[in-house]
Amino acid sequence: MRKFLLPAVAVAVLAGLWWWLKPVSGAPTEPQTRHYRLSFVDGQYQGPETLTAYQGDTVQFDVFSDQDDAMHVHGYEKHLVLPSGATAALRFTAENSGRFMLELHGSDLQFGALEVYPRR
Amino acid sequence: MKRTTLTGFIGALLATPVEAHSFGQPYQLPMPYWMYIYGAMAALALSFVVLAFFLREDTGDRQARRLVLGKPNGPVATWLHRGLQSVMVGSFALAIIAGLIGNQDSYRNINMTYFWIVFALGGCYLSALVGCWYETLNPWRIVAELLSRHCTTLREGRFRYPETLAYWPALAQYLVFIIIELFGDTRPFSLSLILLCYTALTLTGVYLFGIQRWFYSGDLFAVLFRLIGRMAPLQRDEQQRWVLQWPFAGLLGQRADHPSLLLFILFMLSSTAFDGLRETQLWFGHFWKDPLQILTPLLGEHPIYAYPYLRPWFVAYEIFCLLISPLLYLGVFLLFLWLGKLITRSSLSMTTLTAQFSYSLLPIALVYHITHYYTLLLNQGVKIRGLISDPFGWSWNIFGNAITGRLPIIPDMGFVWDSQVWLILIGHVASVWLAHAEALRCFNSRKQATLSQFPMLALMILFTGFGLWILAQPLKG
Repeated sequence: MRKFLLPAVAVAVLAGLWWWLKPVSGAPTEPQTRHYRLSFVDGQYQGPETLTAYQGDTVQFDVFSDQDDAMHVHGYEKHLVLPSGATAALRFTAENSGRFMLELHGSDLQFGALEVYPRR
Repeated sequence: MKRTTLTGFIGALLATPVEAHSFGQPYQLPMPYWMYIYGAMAALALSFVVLAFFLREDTGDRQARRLVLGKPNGPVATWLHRGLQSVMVGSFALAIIAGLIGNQDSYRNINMTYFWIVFALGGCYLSALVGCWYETLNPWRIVAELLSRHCTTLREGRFRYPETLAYWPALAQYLVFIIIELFGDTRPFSLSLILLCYTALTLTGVYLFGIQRWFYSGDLFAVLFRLIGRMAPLQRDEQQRWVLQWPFAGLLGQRADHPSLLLFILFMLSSTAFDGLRETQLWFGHFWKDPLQILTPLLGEHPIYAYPYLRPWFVAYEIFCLLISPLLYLGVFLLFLWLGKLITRSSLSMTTLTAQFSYSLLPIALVYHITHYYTLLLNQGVKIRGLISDPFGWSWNIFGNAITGRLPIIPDMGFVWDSQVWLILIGHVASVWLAHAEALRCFNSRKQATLSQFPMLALMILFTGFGLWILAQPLKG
């Protein structure tokens, strides 16, 4: 009897705590478009270091660089060629949640992170 | 305004050449704060459930139950064994050669993914499932065994292993390994050089002290994988039969036979905690934002403006913190053991108590490690499929999956957070359980054993809470 009672109490306590502490999600209910403008001048990054979105949002990067380079969104494995002196655009749906590094491959520069939060 | 300028300046400085983790970036987001609170409260509640269980049970004297699966025999088993050994030696040879002559892009050369993710991380997790895999598939041991056929000195060694050396060589290698991992900024070429140095060190150790002795206590990976392997459900018994047992049951009755092994276990805990901590805003800010105004008067300017020349000192400071971290954990561990000894008025010495309770920390160390790194195995480790098609990064496509094989597995963040909380709770319960079982073995009465466990329980809750707290901290940009 005791062998079943203790696990049952444990499960009840864990479930009760979960129900009591879990907050209501603060995420927007509808997907949105997140538009970010990033630029690289003289090897320096200008823009926010953390870019945020919620799962299902559309993320658009407009990226200017004064040197030929390529940007890599880790995890999503998106690559964007950056011709010198021009603005290139990358648009994709943020389907996966997580924290994904943003990197300039040519300059070997890890300049920020895209944080995609789950919608829960 | 000044604050905005400073924040912008910090942001610009953070955009530095890649040099954070040795290789690959964990992609998980900080755990929501409520889950951290939940985990801590659940750990507390579960601790008392375990305590309640032990109030009547005699689990302390019980041997772990085992289901004997059998002993592999016959030519198939032999060939399979030899095949796996060849794969291990061949894959390390390939990794070293690829680093020396292949593409120096860390993500295109097979050696970085193979060593840091598949071997160093995957090896730990495989050990947690199949306890003894590394004993027979250790590539350096296989090479040493082969060489010993021609040079018999390798088998027994030239000298008797000094008892005072104990596990210190393995611990020293572990410290160096973590320093290289966190601060080394390794590239394929440098990693190959490191692996060649490690090979030379290992063969020297074998030559001096013999295969058996060196791989018992002198070699980092042999000791690390064996410690983790003790927690595995699949084991080999004394008669070399495969047996199945409850996870963590292999730790029952184990003793740390030297203080260096205790420090090794504590470093397993503290290095992972340190790695998690240094990724956080809190760690970055405590130095560069100088909240206590210690550095600013000394430097004559805010430390962030002195970044170019202060950065090497910051790295030195971080390495110092890493090196003393196991000693901090040791201090806390000894304090709580001493409290248990004080409450129970036990005549057992502190040396005996530390030896008896040190293995009970291993489950927490393992789950710390898994929760911190397992996503790397999924989003970077699986890329080994594609890298096998193009090991040197020369745009080959041997098996036709050079591109498709590099697609990462990215589990949903909700799943990652849930798994982190539950894994940490499982590790916590296992540690509390083991500590209590040990207490029943070494104290004279049940009352004494239970009393001794209140400080240990507080210690486990402290370690668990700290692990969860780190996972919930905002990350630096």
